[in-house]
Amino acid sequence: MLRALVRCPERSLAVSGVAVPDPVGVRRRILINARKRIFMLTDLVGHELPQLRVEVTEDDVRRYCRAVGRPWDGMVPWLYLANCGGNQIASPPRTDRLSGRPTLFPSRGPTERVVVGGQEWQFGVRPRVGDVLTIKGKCTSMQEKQGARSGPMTISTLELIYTNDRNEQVAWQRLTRIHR
Amino acid sequence: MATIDENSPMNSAGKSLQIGDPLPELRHTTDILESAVFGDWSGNRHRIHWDHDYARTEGLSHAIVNSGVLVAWVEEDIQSIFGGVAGLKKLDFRFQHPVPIGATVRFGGEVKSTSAEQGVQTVQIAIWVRGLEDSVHHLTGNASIELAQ
Repeated sequence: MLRALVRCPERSLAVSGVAVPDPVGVRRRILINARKRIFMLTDLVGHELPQLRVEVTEDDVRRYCRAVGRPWDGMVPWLYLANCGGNQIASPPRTDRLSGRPTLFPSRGPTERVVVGGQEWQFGVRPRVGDVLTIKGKCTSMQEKQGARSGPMTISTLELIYTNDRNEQVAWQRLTRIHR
Repeated sequence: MATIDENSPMNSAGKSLQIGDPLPELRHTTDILESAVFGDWSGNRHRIHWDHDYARTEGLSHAIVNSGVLVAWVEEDIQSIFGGVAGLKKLDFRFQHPVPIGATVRFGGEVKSTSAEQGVQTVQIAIWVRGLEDSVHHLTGNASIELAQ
């Protein structure tokens, strides 16, 4: 009886009235979920992020400088780019209120909790007050990893290109994000 | 021989840049109000950056500095060390440990290499942000800076 049930794990073991572990069924469900997850992650690679247009105003750069505690010297700091335009994006309906552009686009991912793991920048023509920047980005990789202490996680990378309204490249950015 | 702002701390050492030269250390700190101001500007109003009680529910000891603020400090420090005329060309960094709001952190690093081409000297530096104790590493990375000769 037990052997028959194990061969057909999708049948309820409750029929037998005995609480017997269902190792085959559990393994099968894990496998199905893992395959679904791999398909989903594969699908996300190459996904283009919503394009942003950001007008660099003196008021906005001054607010940035005030927020990070540096004096405004008339020059737009490079890393103003890392968060500019975030206030254009409505907060996604996340339960943990992780919103805006910390990560830095509300793009799709395997979990709702995302933190920035690292950034890489190459700078071109420095942005100026009055520029209108276009920010285009796409997801370039998704990788599942097992953290020694933090458990399973997915590492994704986004590549973003910032251009000004004269079609000059202002910056290229690779952003590594950790989804848990 | 690099030309650095005459007010630059690297220049005041009175010698050309050498591999292994340490960068002057600079310190930063922030508070809840500044963190909230950054959250308002950036649109990232997550409570983890301004609410200590909430941060504790996430397993942290304090609310933490937004990474956007941390990297802004890095850029400001590179500019103050090498001068406003220096051209930051590349920057990469990895976040290692969150910075609690109210904590003082130190920015530092060292010269990794220098090269000159067509009147422009390029300096590669390793950078870090640490706590007051060397054992706490918040950020490590590299930067490439062009200096007019």
